[in-house]
Amino acid sequence: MTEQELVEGCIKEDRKCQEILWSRYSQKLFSLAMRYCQNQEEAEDALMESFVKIYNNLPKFRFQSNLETWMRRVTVNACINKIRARKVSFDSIDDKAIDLPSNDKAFERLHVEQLLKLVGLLPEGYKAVFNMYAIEGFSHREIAQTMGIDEGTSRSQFSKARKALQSMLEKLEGGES
Amino acid sequence: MSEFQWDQLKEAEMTYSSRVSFDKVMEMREEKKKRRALFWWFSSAGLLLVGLGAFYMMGPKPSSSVASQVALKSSSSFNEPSESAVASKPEKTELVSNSTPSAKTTRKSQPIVSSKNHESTLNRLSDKLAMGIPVEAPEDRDAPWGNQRATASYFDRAYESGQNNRIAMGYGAEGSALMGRKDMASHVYSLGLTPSYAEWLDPFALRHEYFDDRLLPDNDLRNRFKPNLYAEFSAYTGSHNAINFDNRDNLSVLGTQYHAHYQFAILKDLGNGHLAGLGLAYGEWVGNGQYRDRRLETYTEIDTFHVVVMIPGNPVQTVEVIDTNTFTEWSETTGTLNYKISKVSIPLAYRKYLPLGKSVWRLSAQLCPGMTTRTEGSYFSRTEYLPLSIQRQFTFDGRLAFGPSVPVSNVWTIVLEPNLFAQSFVEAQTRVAKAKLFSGFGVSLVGKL
Repeated sequence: MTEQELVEGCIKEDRKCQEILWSRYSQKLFSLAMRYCQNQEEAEDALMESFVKIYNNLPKFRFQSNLETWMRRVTVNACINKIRARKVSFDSIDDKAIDLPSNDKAFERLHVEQLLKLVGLLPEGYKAVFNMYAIEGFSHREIAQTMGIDEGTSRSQFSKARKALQSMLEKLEGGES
Repeated sequence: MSEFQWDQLKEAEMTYSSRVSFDKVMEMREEKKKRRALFWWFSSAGLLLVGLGAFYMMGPKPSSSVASQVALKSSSSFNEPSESAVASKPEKTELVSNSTPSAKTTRKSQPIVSSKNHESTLNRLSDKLAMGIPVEAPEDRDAPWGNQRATASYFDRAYESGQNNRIAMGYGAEGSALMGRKDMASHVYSLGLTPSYAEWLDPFALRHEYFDDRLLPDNDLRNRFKPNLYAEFSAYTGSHNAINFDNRDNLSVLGTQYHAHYQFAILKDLGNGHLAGLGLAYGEWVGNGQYRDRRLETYTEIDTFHVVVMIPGNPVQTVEVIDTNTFTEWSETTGTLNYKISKVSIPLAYRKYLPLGKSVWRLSAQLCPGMTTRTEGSYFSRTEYLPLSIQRQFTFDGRLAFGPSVPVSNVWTIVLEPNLFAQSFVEAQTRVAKAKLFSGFGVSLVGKL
């Protein structure tokens, strides 16, 4: 079944199509939610809420982007709402003070599971921005709009996230050697 | 980190616990749908209740305890001192008149509200009464007649003494339905208009007992509690054109949308030409048109042919030539669009009568929350068209009109109303509100109940 057929079926409230959509994307989106949320329970709630939103808003989906990209975006928004509900604070720093590491070869040796674990260990504010910018491909402006912070804060959070990841990696490597 | 790692991170899949399932998601969805439906119903019901409450609050208040007893001077002239008449609370079915027989009435009695000053005093006092501020009767017996009258409570009435209990004052200030006598110099009454304008609007008002010099009939007290209600039957039509044949746009629509709206409403006279009320309305909204969908299509044409090559000294050869050309062309799809939306609504109406020149004009505004009874076809606007599913949806309309009021009989007046009518509904699939502004014409028939 193509994406278009699937979407049309869901719009017509065809339960079979809705179930296919769930089984096709739920695990991917759950993995995404896990990267943002504090724990499994919160991620599961975010996943269910985002699927409710997806089913309700599918008629608005105009195939201007990939269905999965759109669904990921809905899920990210659901996760952000969860984070905002916890009132996570974001510290703002001056843009000029940001020194992004250009080449971090150390990361390349890591497996996905290890990377996920490391990302999961990041503090709340850093984690969301890192996920959105580095993995989902949002721009800092989009992140700022979605999270209700300013662009400078988004940049600083990302910078801090990368530094934190690097230091964690160094510790990991030091432990291994 | 490499691109591959990013992709791996993005594509990673994890298994959730058993508390998450497709069925749970569908349950959550149903619950949200129910909550949303409840929200709409409660909002509509709340709006209706607010409307009804406002309608009730603005009506006469016969049982008000404020200023329940006020002294009224029942003299037939300004300067003649006379005894006071104490008007009882409205719930009492009779009025107490202590007027002395010596205070006789003549037809030349002074007008109750004879100047703007008196009227404004009345208004101030009525405001006080409405706010619950006790109003004391003036002690100065020589105070102007109008001011003393102004202290009257809602239905307090002063009778001029004498053999005939002639009416000196009708409704009190609160009801804003002050009645005057025919021979009075000026009148402030029912719709806040001068008699000639009022006659246009409500010829019946001038035939009312309050304006008559006849004796007050025994059962006339009931009329004091009778609210000034008007029945209104209206029909409005309007149209809206959607024209967009701009070649820069992919979708062009040429269509006309019409609406017809029929309603019945009960209006309450709030005084000074203001009326407010509630009603029931049925409306139909249809659209007919055409669309043109233009898409720039690129296609490649491959032409193959053989060329025979003859070179002296060489064998004859055949060469296959493949000629490829790329074309760009606009492809057009055209079609017709039709839709129909029917709905019922509850108009919350407001009217204001204004004397303009020698005629009476009416400004009317209303809001109509309602539900669709039928939605079908393909709805369109200048930039889009979409199929409508047949579902009950919330609607919200508004109307603004201004036109002359023309009397047609003793009871009925016709109001001609050029109007602007905004119609909106919530599209079932996208759950996005769609709205149109129609301009058109309407007629209302208004009669006093």
